Amino acid sequence: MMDSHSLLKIERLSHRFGDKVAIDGIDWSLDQQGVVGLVGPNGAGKTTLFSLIAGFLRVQEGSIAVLDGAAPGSRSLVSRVAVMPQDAIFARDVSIVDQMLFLRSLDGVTGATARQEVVAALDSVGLADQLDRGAAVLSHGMGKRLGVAQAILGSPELILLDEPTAGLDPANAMQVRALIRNLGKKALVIVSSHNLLELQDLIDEVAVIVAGKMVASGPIDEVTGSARRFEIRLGRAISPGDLQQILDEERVRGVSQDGVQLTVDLDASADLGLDAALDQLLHRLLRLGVPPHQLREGASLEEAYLRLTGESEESPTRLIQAAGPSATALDERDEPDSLDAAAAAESSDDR
Amino acid sequence: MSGGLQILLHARNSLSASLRSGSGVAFIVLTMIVGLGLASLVFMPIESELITPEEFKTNAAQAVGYFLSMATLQPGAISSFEDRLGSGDLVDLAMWGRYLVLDHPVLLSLTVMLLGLVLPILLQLGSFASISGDVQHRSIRYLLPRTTRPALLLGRLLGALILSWSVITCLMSAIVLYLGIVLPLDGWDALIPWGFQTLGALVVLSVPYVALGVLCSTLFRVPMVALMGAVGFTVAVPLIAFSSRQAWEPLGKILYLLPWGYAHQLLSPDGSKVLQAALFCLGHGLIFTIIAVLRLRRADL
Repeated sequence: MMDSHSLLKIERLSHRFGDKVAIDGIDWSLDQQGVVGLVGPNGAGKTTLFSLIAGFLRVQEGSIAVLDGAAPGSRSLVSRVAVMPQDAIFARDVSIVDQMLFLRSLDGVTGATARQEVVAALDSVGLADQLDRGAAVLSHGMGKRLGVAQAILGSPELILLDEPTAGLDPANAMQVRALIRNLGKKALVIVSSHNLLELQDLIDEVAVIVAGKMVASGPIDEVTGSARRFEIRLGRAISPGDLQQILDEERVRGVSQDGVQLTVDLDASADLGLDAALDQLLHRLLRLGVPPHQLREGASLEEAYLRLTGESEESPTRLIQAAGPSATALDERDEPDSLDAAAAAESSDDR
Repeated sequence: MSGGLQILLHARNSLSASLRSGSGVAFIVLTMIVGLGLASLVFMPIESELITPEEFKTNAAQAVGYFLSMATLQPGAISSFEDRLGSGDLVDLAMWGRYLVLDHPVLLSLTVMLLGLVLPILLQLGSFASISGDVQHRSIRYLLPRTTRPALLLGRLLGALILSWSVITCLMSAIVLYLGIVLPLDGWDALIPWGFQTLGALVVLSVPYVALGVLCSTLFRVPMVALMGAVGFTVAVPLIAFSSRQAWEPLGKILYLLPWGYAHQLLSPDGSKVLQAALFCLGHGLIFTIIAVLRLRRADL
């Protein structure tokens, strides 16, 4: 029997599309409100899992209990679960305020109250000045924000957001992240995203799904193994020998270099945790005569993700020895685009 | 929120969306154009004075008689002209023809009979995208967390029905007004009651065909495929029934998969037969609706 205290409990869940296994025996339980990240490679089954939890897809094997133990799509869950689907679009010829008012009316809220709530929701995603425009004229980013706005209407207890900030400009992405953080205080919010740097700063728990299987889940520190990644900009590039010296430090798990940009994974689990690890790293850099010009926390979750999904074949040592490939890998994984930069900036602001 | 209220909300929203969508506008415009075009064809001989009203009624009586004798040809039952004459069947048909041609405004009767043949196809235009449109664009995923699937389907069906009934009412009003003002062959006292009765017949007839369109809309994820399915089924049923009846008489009962086999009874002079046909139409609509609900409840969306 399902535990009625779980907000979400999934047991032995499997789902197929023809011969393709999309979800393969997943067990997952979430008992507390907060923000949970769901990450995995493309085609891993994240959207399928969302669709099953939301009741868009019928459960083929296993079970899902949502909120008070109800099956997805049950009448008792109406208006208690909100979803921002990844690829759904709004009616093109109807104004967005009318579409939102209709959705709210389905919750039983109409009139001035509904309008007030709709305007507030649209305002929270920066669309308050677009009320009377049709969805046809909205840009991709605006459509995304509208999707987020409809998901936060009312007081849903479980909110599923599939790639909520994909395609958003940095300012709007920051606004949406702040919104998600607030939602996490009063609901269970599950966010799927490929932007791991962004997620790391946003979520309390994370689940990693690979080829339909959940390979890890739990508090983010547990999943990342207390690893913390730092991006360091140096005054000059350093030699492979110097890189090896950095790697030889006790609390350094891995290091790679791309020009003057150094990426270091630190072990923050030992005594004094992160402080001791940073102290050790910075002393080593100073002894090597390369004082850091800029230092910021990077995506530790990404390191864990790559390890868990098997997408990173390089060991820390190989990252150093094979400077070319490692630089390429770094480019692909962690090029600090504007969105990441905004997230990092926001992250440092929060601290 | 109660399911009933949600159904009404979906119906209102569906109606509003239809008036803004391409398929909804196409349905309204095409139905009006085709309907008025058929009426114009019926009126033309008298309007252009090619024939006198009396001659027209004589010819119309023959045409109606032929139509009714074809429509009432029961599969597996007596079918030769002599047998039908001997059984008194054709006498009933003559009475029926007189009822439509002489007892009531003939132009309106003929127009409604023609509309009864084309509306089943046109009505699919107003309902084929009820569900499939949202499934194709995944916008149904915004609705499902806030409603139940049966409420969504029943609301969309109600919306499509109201739209269809509104269009039929506009069409019939235009025809009756034209007949009353421009072609005063029959007085208002004859036109208005018969107009209401024939409007009722078309409204009832629309129920199963709109439900069929909604059913196809749940069966197929792509709206155009749903439209092709609904129109194809509507057209194929009588064609297959008539052709396969030649090979094996009982196959003619395929006609009853849709109201084709009994819809003409909606214009019968016998009130009990009208009621029976109306109940059959509603029953047909109910069956299609139940299948659609069951299908939508199990569908991956």
